[in-house]
Amino acid sequence: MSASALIWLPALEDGRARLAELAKGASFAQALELAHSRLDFVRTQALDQIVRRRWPQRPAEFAGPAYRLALLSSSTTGHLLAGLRIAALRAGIWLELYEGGYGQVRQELQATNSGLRAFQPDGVLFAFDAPQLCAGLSASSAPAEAQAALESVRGDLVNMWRKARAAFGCAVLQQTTLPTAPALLGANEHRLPGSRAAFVARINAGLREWVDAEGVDLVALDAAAARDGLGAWHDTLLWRRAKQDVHPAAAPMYGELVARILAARAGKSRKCLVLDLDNTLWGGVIGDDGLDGIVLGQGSALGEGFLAVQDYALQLGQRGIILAVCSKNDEANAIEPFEKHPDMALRRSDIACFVANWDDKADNIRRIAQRLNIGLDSLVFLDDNPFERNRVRQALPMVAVPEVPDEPALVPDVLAAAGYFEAIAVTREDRDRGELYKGNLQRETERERHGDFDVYLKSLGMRAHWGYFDDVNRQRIVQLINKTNQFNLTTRRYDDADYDAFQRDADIVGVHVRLIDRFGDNGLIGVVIARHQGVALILDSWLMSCRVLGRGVEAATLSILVDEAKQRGASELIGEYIPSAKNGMVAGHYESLGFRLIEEDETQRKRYVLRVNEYAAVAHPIEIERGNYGRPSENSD
Amino acid sequence: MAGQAKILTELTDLFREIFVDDEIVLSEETTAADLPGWDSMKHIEIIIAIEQKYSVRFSSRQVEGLRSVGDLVAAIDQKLS
Repeated sequence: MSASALIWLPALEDGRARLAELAKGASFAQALELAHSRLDFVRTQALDQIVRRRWPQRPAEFAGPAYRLALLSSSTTGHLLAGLRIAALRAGIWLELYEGGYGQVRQELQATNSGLRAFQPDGVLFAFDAPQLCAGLSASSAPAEAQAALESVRGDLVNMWRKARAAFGCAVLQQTTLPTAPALLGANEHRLPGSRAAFVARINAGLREWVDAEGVDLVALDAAAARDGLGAWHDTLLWRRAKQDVHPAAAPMYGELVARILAARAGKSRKCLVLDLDNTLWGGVIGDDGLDGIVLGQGSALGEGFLAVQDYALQLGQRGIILAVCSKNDEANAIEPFEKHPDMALRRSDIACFVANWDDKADNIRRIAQRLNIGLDSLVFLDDNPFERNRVRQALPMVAVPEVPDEPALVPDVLAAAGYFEAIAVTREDRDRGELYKGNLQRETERERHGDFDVYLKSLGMRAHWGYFDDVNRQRIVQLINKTNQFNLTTRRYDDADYDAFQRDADIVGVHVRLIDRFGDNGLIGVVIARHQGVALILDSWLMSCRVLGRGVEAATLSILVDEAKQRGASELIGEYIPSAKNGMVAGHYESLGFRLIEEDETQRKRYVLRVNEYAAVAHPIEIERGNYGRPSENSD
Repeated sequence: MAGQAKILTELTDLFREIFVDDEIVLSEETTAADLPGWDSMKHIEIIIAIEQKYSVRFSSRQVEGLRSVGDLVAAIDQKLS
């Protein structure tokens, strides 16, 4: 198996026959199933060829969005297209590709009549090979000359990113460069200013800072090559023969690396890791072997392997991934190691939802999604038992179920390679999420103590801190806009460039809301974007984190909006609901706040009005305060 | 030449998979001109697939000389013997 193989996907049985069936007329579901198996580059090409022949346009049964990606590269890319399209399919995206002319990157960006212009990309991916970037560098270059060359590369890249964004208002992705240049000094290569190997290393290191300042996302080929070995990603002979910088055999993984960035930007990254227990988090069966009999912790390679799985899960939890347990066990047995085993890295409090019983695991996983208030397509299910894996794959195809290697020590590598939790930014809320869920558990306990829910809500001492769109909260607001699926009235996605435009537009009211209670800060949980148009404030977007559902935040937010309308002299608020596969929970949102339906089309898209002078405040237990962090944008008056 | 006949059968199978066409019939004389889609990009794919299948590696010089199915069969046979 190639070092860049898709190791987390199940092997494809009868691949030849299945592809032939698809070519002859099997359904699109079969194509998706094939895409979710471990295809090598030949079969990836074959699947792509069949899919494109049978479905030239996005088929109706594919619910994911279409995305237009332009590939602007200094080397050959034709062999990468199939890998990109199939990986996108797997990530729930229908990818349309544009391949820039070979080595024509600058010209395409410049020309007003280029194919790129006509294509109107949603995203542009820049890819440059080492020889291209090292042009102008000589092994005898002085330090100042090498520094100038580095500055020139940076200036050139930044210039292209900005041009692409200005021309298309699109997302920009930059591939890091494969370190293909051979060393001249050796281990201390960095001491030779004109070394190409050292220069590429400096560019790759520099890119990490350059892209952050420009809102560009990296596709880290250098990290992939460091993990899999350069030979898995680049073949000097193929470079000479066909100017292929990326090895054709690595095309399926290359597609993955790109597609998961697009998926993360579209809010499709997974949010929760569901863990089996016996022989997944420890060796043996707790119900049979007992606390002293399970294999875990220092002292044996196997025990350390299981500890490594726990430690990786714990780190994922600390960076914002929700952890859950789904185990066939008596609950008391299942919990015992979490409370009493000295070597456990995971403790009961790290698990947001703990389900141990003898029911079907697919049913239990449904319950977990419900209790956590997240979609099934946000879940990853880790289980050593092939029976359970297949059961869940078959009953719940939207749940990601990775293959699990026999060696527990290798599980973290498989999870990392799968890229389920790909994220493009880390916000304070991500880091605090573990605490938030612990806070939620305390609140649940309080709720049980208080029979009367309203009394309970009042006892929380909730305060809503709100403010206009500002720079401090930009990252979190853009993240919420792009990943909120359920409590989202219109599911309109906006990127950093849109956010900039909103901040500058005097007719746009962008409001964010943070909720604080006596258990702690729930973080920035609500966003509204409204446009002041004529006599109305039109609510373009209204979204909220489901964590704070049922606590009156909606009513509190409305009162903020009504005040804003009054200040601006607007006489009505117009609300809009666009149904999606996931936002059924807010179908009655505007009615419940006293809005009146004025329009409905055949797609159940609805518009509502609330006249400001008829506004009857909906009671809520939240004290509203203008936040003292961040400053109002200039459009606030 | 039983070895070469076996390789030809295996290559036919591989070509059918690569070209997604079960009708393909190869002979030693088959060249790129006989198979629609056998362009230079496909040629590289074929070479890599052969290298992976037989765990062999062709040199650049050899690759430049591989123009017909017969050339491929002979090159594989030589590497394997």
